[in-house]
Amino acid sequence: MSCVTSSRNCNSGTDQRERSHRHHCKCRCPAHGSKGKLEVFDAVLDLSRPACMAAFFRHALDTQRGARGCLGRCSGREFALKIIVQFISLCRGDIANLAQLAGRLWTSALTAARKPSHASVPTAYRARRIQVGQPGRDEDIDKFNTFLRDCGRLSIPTSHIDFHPGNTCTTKMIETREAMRLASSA
Amino acid sequence: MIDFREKVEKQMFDRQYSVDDIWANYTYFPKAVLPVTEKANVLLAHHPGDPPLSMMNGVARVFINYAGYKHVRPRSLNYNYASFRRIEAAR
Repeated sequence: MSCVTSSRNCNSGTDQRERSHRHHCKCRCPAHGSKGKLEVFDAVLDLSRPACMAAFFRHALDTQRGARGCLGRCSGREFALKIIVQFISLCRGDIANLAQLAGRLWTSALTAARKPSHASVPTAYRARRIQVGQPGRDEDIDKFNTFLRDCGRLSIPTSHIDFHPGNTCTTKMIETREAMRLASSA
Repeated sequence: MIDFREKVEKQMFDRQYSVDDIWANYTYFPKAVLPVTEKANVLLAHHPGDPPLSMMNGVARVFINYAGYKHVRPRSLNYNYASFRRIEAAR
């Protein structure tokens, strides 16, 4: 059985957790009356939405501890987790922020899941000076290299680059509640 | 597409960038980054050029088809591309 949670369309962490559980989860749950066992949980985390993250980690921790809530009834031993981590921004990708994020992701979620199968950092690094060869691109490359070294230190397995500077989808930047800068549609 | 060309598209930079310009810039970048990725044991993914237009806002786009990705090979960059093997699907 597969329990898939996508945080893209949710506004409330609680709603997301409950909706996910109600519609997809097949674990034994007296509250919702479903039967079966939760074997795989695929989560798409949107770090720009703290409520979604909080809900997810509550879910993961509850499942691991089996302590409270209907999802706590799911067996942690049969609980596998696939995580696609989204929106780890490179613009603020210093070691402190990464450590904070990695701590939240790796320590909580992956320790809870015990079987991480996939992780990636889909938010691409795009630096105009690199892409069009303007002066100062070596500074941007050094910045990215620092980010990569930090990823390695924190066991973050992948990073992501973007090389289409003429794209109109990356003409604006917005600040999120996570104090990260994310590219937005024009 | 016609609407985009006529109403939306504009030259983003002070000049147009050809395919050769973009390839030259691209070649410079991974040569500086890949040694670090291998040492850090981090895989690099590559975002495809979406939408797949050959020219957009005065800048050539190279990662829009198979030929573009085929161009990114160890032989073309004279580098071991073991750490550069994931291609992310367009979102």
